[in-house]
Amino acid sequence: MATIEISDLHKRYGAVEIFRNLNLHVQDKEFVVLVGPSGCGKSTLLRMLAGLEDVTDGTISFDGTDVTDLKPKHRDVAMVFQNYALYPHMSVAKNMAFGLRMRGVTNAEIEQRVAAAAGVLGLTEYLERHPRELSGGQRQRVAMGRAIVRTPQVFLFDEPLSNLDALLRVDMRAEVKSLHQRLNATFVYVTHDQVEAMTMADRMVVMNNGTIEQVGAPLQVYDKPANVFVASFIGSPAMNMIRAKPSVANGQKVIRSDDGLTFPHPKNNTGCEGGLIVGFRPRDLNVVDKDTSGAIEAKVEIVEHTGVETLVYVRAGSHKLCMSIDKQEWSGLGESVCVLPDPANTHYFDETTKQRVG
Amino acid sequence: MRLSRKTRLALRKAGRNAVLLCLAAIAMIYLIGPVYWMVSTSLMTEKEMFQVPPHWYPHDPSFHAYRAIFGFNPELVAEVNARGLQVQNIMPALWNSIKTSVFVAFATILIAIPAAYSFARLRFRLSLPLLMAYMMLRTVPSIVLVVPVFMVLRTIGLIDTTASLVLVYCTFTVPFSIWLLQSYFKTIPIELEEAAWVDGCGQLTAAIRIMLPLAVPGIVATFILAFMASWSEFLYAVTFTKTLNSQTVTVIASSFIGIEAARFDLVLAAGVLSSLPPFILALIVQRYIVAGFAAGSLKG
Amino acid sequence: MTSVDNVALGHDAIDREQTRERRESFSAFALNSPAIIWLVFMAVIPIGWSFWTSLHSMNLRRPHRTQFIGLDNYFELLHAPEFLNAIQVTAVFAAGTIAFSLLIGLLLALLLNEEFPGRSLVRALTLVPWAMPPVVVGLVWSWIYDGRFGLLNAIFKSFGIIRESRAWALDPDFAMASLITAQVWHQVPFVTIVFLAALQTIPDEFYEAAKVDGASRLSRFFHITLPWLSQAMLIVLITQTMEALRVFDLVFVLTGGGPGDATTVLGWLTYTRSFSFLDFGRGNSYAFVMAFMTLLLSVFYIRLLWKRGEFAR
Repeated sequence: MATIEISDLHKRYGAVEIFRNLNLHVQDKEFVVLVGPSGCGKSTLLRMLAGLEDVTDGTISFDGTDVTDLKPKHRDVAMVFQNYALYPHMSVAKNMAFGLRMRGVTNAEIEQRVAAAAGVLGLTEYLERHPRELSGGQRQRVAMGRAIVRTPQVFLFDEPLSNLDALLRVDMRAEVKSLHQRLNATFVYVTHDQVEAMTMADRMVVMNNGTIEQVGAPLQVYDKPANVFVASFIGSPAMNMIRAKPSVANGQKVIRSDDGLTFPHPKNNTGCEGGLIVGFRPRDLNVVDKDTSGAIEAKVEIVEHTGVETLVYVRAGSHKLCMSIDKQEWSGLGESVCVLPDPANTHYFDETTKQRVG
Repeated sequence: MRLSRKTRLALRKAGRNAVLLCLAAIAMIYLIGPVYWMVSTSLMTEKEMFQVPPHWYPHDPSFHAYRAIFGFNPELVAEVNARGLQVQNIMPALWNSIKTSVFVAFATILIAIPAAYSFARLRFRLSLPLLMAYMMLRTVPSIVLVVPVFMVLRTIGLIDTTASLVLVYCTFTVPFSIWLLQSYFKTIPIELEEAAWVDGCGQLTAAIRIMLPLAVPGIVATFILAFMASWSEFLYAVTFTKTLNSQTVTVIASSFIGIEAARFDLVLAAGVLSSLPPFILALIVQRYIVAGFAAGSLKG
Repeated sequence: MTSVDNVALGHDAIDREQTRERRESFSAFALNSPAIIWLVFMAVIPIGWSFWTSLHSMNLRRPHRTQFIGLDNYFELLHAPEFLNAIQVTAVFAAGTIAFSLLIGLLLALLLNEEFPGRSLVRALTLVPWAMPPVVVGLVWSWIYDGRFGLLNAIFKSFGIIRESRAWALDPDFAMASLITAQVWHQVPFVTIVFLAALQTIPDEFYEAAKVDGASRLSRFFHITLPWLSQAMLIVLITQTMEALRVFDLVFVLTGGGPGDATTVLGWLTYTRSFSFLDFGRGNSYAFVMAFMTLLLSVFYIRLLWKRGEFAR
């Protein structure tokens, strides 16, 4: 059992405020991913959970026990560091055993637990090597091994995959995920990579500038971004965003941008008096017939092939929109097309509060 | 005849190397020449040493000078001392130097390691001023302290003891060692200690079990530099020591030079013996010396 | 720290920050205390005492006649010919050693910055003169300068530069030059390494860009290399001046301050005043002038290191 309760957490370095009034509840055995751009405070938050950073104000409790002022060694957590932080002067086995030794576990049990963890991670034949003799991926495994031998209540990961090459990263992603299922423990995982966050999380916490922007299951966050920041941060290529105002065209309420692009009015009418931001993902922008109602006329400017999909950048009015379609040859550079965002997946945000309105 | 491109390049490279090697040879003659001359003279017989023009190398190398200063040739020592010199057995002085330098080096790292740790790992308001104060103390010329320290030592009756030298030398070795060590400690990633904290260590345990083992090269280098500094010291040694009870090898070596005459074979044999340990140690810690110089943090 | 923020955060926050600061300051002080105690007793108090003494007329030969005379020792300095002479001698010595060690060190560093077979050996051997105890440097050079059998006489004679042998270190015209030559030899390794370290940080792109722009080898040197070395030069300048103020061992062995007072540098004067004439009051005031000059230099030096980021965490 390990729930984490973060309430009214403040962090300041001197005069610099990292965050204030942070609240978060992590359930037992949950895999929570903190995601956000660099400098958003996610690593600081993780380090506060580990006890490596002082808490300025507020409380952190594990399972209802206040651990706010406990030193790291008195918290039952294990942490995997971004650069692994393997002890260079110890063999792999000693690295993994160190935490157990410090906690006074008997030699026989240490041996057995290290062997078991090494087996799980495929490190058995490397136990006597030193970290410098290992590849990046192997070091990463040792770092995880060091965490799992301890069987703590809470595992903390600080961007553990960011130093691996792309292919290995995909493998390890799955491996961490299966580790979570096997270990039955609470995982808090920090990353700046939204794909990692989407693929691994039970629940993701999107952070920006020291505030939590949205907490939710990956698809929930993807489908219903709570605000402009989340909308633009999650999803690649980024969501198209257009500033627009309520207006009337052909007797119908619509939303119109300065350069004349019109979009349907959001279904629920609340909060649509002032300016809005209309957003739709490249995947939700489609080529349509000229006479479809609401079709936007645009000119194709750039075509990019990523392999899986083809990205078409079009200019509509003064806006540059990105459209993602299934892989195909596209020769119509410079030609005019008509595009239309899928109304079901069009997002509306209040221009001033940046919050979702429909 | 037209040379191929490859040959031309090879020739140009060979020519360049030849020029650079010539220049390097000149540099080496300048830098190593006097050292060579010292070693060579120390191996010459008295007759050969006074050849005009001089022999460029000992035609008949002999260890008589070394035998004499190690006390195996009392007749020669008596003979030169009758001519007004003060040559004596160098063994006790060598031993004094070793004792002094080892004590200094140990005391230095014992004092400097905790201080250096505080600069590398703790945040405290006086960190910077204190570090600068150490830096300033390092630049104080020894001569400034010689009189007052002499008075202090005389008062507590420590004149002419190894302890007095150890006390004084640490005044100079500690500041630069703190400086060197703290910059070395800062190169050790703090994440390693953080990992150890999470693994269940307190700050002290993590420092001892993780940081110190990793800092061994830096600590050894500091130890050696402190050893070298006290081995080479002369001003305090000549002022505070009076007898072979504490006189170091630099003092004894310099005392071999008489006012009227000098037996340079004996003097330079003592010179070779005094230089040998620092030479060897300098080659061992070459890398750190270079780094230390670059940081401007070493006694020149 | 009593900003509005703190009030808003409540007492816990302030307490935590203060406790932490207090705890870390206390540990830091504890960790530094051996060093601080040692240095206070062996350096700070003696220096203070020395300053106090320099305000007295005090001669160990007449211990009962000690009396407080304020800054008189210092005012007297301005009229003491021996002091003015020592200042002048020290200035000449400093200028000479700096000029030559800078020049030779720079040339050597430029050489060692080039790739050639055996470079690392040459670089290692460059340290040899530095590693030699200064006293031994003095002994070796006094043998080279020897009036009858010295190497220098032999070399100069074989090139026909001189006819008569000379005791170079004891010759009124050449004593200072001899001293400078020995000091330069001892200091060149340090200067070389400082320059070499600076040279090795010059990005290759600078030279490549200049080559593309058609700059000649010489203009590359003057427009890229030299400006890049300016900071290293300043370091050399300051440390070498300090070394010149510090010099003692070489003078002791090579010239004994003579002939006459031709090589009586400030350090030597302080020493002889104190220990040969037992005039501790005067000796101390000389020492203090030196300490003051060094202090000024070290302030510049520390500022320089500060700018280079040597104090960064």
